[in-house]
Amino acid sequence: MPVFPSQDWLTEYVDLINTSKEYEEAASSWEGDLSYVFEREPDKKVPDDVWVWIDLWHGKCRDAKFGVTQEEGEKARFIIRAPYSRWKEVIRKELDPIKGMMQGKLKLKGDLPTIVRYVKAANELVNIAGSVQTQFVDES
Amino acid sequence: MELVVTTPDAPPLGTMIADLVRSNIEKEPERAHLAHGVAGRININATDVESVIGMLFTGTSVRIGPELPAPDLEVVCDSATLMELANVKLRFGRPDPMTPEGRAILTKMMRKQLVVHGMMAHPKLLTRLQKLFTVA
Repeated sequence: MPVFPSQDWLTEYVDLINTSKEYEEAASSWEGDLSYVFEREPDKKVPDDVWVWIDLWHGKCRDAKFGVTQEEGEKARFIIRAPYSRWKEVIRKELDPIKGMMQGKLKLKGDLPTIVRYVKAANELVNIAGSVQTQFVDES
Repeated sequence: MELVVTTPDAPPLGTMIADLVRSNIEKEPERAHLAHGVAGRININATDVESVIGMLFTGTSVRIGPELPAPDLEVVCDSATLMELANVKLRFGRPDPMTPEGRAILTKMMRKQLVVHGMMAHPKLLTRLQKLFTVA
C-alpha cells in the first residue's frame, strides 16, 4: 500500500485520474497545472513542506512530479496548500475541499472563478485521492 | 479608492467571496459599475460551514467582512448551493430557468434549501449581488 505522501502514492493517484470517466467528463475543457503543498508537521513525520506538481489537460493528467522545489511548484497556475493533517482529512473524505477553502482550512492561490467553474472536477480529484489505498506516513 | 474591500476581521468565506468578485471585475471591467449607485446590507449564511459574512454596498464600493446587523438581504444555503449560485447563468439578473442549473436553483428555492430574505423589498440589490458573484 503506497505511503502518503510519496512518489508511489502519486503514481497510483495519477493512474486513477487517467482511468476516471467522471473526472474526464467534469474536466473535459480544463487546461492548467496545479501544485499541492503538504505543509510540514515534524511531529507527524513530515519534517518539510512537500510540493507535488500535476499537469492536468482536458480530463487527463499529462505529467506529475513529486517533491518539486518550491520555486518550481510556484510556477503552477493553481496552488492548494494545507498542513499534512488537513490533507489527511481530505483524503479520508472527512473534509470537503470547497468547504475547507470556505473555512480557511485549505488555501488556494490562483484564479478563483476558474476553480468555481470547475468545482465538479475539483471534487472528482478529491474523490480519486480518497480511493487510493493509502498508508499515512505518521501511521506507518 | 478600492472598489471591493475586505475588512481585516472578514471570515475566510468573506475573503473567498471578495476574491471571486474582484476577479470577476478584473476579467470584465464593465461589471465595476455594479458596485456603484446602490446602498444596502447583505448577509450570506453558509449553513454547513457555520460562517456568515456581510457585504456592505456603500454606493461607491463593496465592503466584505463579518455578519452585518439588520441586513436588507440575507442569503441562507449550504456551501454546495453557494457554488451552484456562482455557476448559474442569469437572465434579467436572476437564475435562468431555461438552463438546468437555473432550474436547479429555483427548485432549491421552492424547497427552502435556498432562502433569500428581503428579495421582494430589495430586488436591485439582489440583482447586483448575483451579477457580481456569477462566473457563468
